[in-house]
Amino acid sequence: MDELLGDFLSETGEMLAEIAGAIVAWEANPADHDRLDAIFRFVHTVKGSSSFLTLPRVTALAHAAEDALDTVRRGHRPADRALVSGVLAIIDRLTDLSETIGTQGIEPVGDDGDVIFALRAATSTPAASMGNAASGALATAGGEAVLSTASASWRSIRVPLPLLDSVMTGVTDMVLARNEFSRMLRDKVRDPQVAAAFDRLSESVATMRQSVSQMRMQRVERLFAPLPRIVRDIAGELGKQAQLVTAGGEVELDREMIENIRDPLTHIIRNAIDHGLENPDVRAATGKPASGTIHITARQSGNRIDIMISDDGRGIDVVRVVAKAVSSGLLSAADAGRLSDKEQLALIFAPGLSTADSISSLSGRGVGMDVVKANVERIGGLVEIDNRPGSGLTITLRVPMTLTIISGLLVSAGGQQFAVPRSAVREILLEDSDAVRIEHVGGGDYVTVRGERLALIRLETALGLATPEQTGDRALILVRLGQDRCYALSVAAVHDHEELVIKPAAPAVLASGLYAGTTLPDSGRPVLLLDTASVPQVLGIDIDAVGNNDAMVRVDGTNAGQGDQLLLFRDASGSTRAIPLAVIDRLDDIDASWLFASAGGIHVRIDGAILPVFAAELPQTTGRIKMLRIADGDTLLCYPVDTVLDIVRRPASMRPAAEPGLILGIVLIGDLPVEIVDCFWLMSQAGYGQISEALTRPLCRVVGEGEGWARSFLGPMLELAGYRVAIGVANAGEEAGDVLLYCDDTAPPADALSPVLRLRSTIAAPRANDNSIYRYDRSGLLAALAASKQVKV
Amino acid sequence: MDNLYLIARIAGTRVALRCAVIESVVLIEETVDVPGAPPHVAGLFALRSRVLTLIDPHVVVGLCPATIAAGQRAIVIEIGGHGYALLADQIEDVCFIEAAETAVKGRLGDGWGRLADTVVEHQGATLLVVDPERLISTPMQRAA
Repeated sequence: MDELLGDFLSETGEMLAEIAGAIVAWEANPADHDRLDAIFRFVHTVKGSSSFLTLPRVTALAHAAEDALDTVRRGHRPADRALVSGVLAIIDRLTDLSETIGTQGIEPVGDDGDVIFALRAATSTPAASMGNAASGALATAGGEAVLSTASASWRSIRVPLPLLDSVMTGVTDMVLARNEFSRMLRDKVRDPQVAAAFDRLSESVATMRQSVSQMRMQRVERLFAPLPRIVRDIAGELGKQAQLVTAGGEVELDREMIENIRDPLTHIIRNAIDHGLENPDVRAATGKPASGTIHITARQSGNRIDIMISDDGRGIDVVRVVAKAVSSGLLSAADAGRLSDKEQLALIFAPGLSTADSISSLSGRGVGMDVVKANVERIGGLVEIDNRPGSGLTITLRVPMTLTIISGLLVSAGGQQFAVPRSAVREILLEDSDAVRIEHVGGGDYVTVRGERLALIRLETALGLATPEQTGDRALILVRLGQDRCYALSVAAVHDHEELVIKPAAPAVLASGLYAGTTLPDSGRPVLLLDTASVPQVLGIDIDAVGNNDAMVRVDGTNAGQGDQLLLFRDASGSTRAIPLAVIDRLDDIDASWLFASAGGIHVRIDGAILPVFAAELPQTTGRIKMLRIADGDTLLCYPVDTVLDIVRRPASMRPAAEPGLILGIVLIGDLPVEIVDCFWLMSQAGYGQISEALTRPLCRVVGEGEGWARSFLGPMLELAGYRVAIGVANAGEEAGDVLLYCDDTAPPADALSPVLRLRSTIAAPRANDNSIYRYDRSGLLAALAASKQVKV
Repeated sequence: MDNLYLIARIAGTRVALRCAVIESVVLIEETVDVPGAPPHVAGLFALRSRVLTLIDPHVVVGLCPATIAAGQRAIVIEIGGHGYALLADQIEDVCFIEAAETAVKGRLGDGWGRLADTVVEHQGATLLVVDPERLISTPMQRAA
């Protein structure tokens, strides 16, 4: 094939990909002249170059499309569906033809009358007579005008990819050789002239390195361009309505990565329309708009790119997936029953599983999510699924941005250097700067920078390194994880900023999830590149859980992100104990005088509330006391501690305690045996005195002569025991009461709906078989109340 | 090439390593730790413009990790596009061994069973034949 033809084909292929999205967008909004002009420009260019290369079929097709589009540009007719379909048919034929020309080297013989006449039929309005010489001439003139503005953006040359790759490798090696040379110079040569010459060389190498890395980067837009067309065609074929919304097209990605996620992305979109989106009538019945929406968003998150494909369809029916997996023999029904929700959902990645009941031309052919997952993992990426049954599905492809040359920041921690991608760094501050406030709250470290609250991660802790004695100030790096998501990474020092050649690390090194690769900076010592996006995940820290309000950070009792972390502390008895971080609401530092002993236990007056304290007696100190506030969502309990030691991961194995009690069991943290506090038991002990929310407490209604006594004497005791008290017979509209207490001889009605207890004022029962209770028999009364409550339940 | 072996002492045992994936034998200079990595990863070190992952065979066969000092020898291999260096106690020779490999009889201890299937006779001694690749992949599979 001659060179000119090759150029024509690759140029046409590239323009075709760009134009496909423009056509669908133009159909949606025919008034969009920019899009129309772009399409016109394309067919016009193809017409011109193909006639030069004697490709008559291509020329005829392009000419027909150009004519049709021209009538629209002139406003002789509007763009309707028939016209768009006609133009699309021509463009499809052009695509097929150029593929054939590419493989055979010549234009095949054939007839394109069908598509050309179909388009003519679609455009045959009286005003648009094809043979109009004047309009034809004008069209050409118009076309040239459009072309002149367009050619600037297309001014480029084509370079074969292997050549680009070899330039890349060459520059990489050059940079490394320069670094080695620089080390030798520094050690051995002291001649300023040599140094100056070397600096010039270094500078040009650095510039070149930058250009080369830009050469490889492409906007994700390129990946998105053909998608509107795909969505339109698939939806049309399936009789569904779908629209596509893309965002983040300006995000840049290594071109190799773009090539590798093209197919997975297309596959996911096909699935979303075929399996996800319901038919318009079904959607209308469930209150959704008839047209489904597929959102595709790209965003940069540290040195990774997240591409999210989200639809508002029916989501994945996990039950059906499991049933399908069982029926196709992937696993037994018994195994299926043992799977967690997440594992059940993950079955869609199992090879050979398809939930499509019938095989359509689009999906359900057994080539499924397993291939998507394998393709994405091959380039070091991940596939995540967020299933919302009934309301949609979001699939996130997380891929590394590039593994070639990045601009990096060298930092040190635990006496060792690490690299952080510059693109992930939002700001660098010193820990003792006025703008920074560091707090240790509720077992986590937080930092407030100019009013913004962020989770704080110490790099030494993250990597499990010892923190050596620090001479200077520590630095804080605010690490960006995409839009508005950020955390603070505390490091011993920030060194310089270098262009780093990133080499993929061995699988054994990547297994920890902390690193994205290795690099050799100017020092010549290997440095690990931190995967800043996954460091919080590896540590189980949910950076989004850090609120921005000025109140203490409240941690939900069921916070899964911190579920496997323990707060290590020494309590008042001197024992080293640990408690799950997730149950700790906050750490209070209070004055010892706020504690008081009463009502059979120790309590603390704090924030205008009275809370139970887990302690046998009042502390003997008069200074300040640290209290862990433990919350199960409803009830609060304070646990006095002497010193908070550390936050550690929960070891996998625990020796359980022999008997139920304060200690759940013993674990080894390092070499230290640590008792784990049994939160369940602790809370069961806190039941006394803790007044829970009003409506959950049973209502005790006291009726009869002793109402005044009941109000002053009985009521407070009952309230302390966890009941609400009402006096007198229930009026209309009032709660009847969960238990009725009748005093003395007032006879209870025979048709009482709630359990009834009778109280008497004499110690001795007036007669045998009397089941009344002496009114100062506290335990007897409470036991009877508890029993009647159970009867009711 | 098939019967070319590197005779070396690794993890305290004299073995014959198949030469197919072996690139060179180098002296270890400075190593850099990899916090959080599996225990058989003894660190990283630079070899000209490459970064090699240093593997400690002691850990792979279930012994205590060796202390790593500059000047020790390591066997450089490339597997799956990644460069590794296997820490060697002693490097003896590269030689052709004419004798055929024979299957291991009996049971090997100390984790060697996962590394070697055959033995070969060389100068009156029986050497385990070790595929260097197994030293890299074995602990990973064990973890999975």
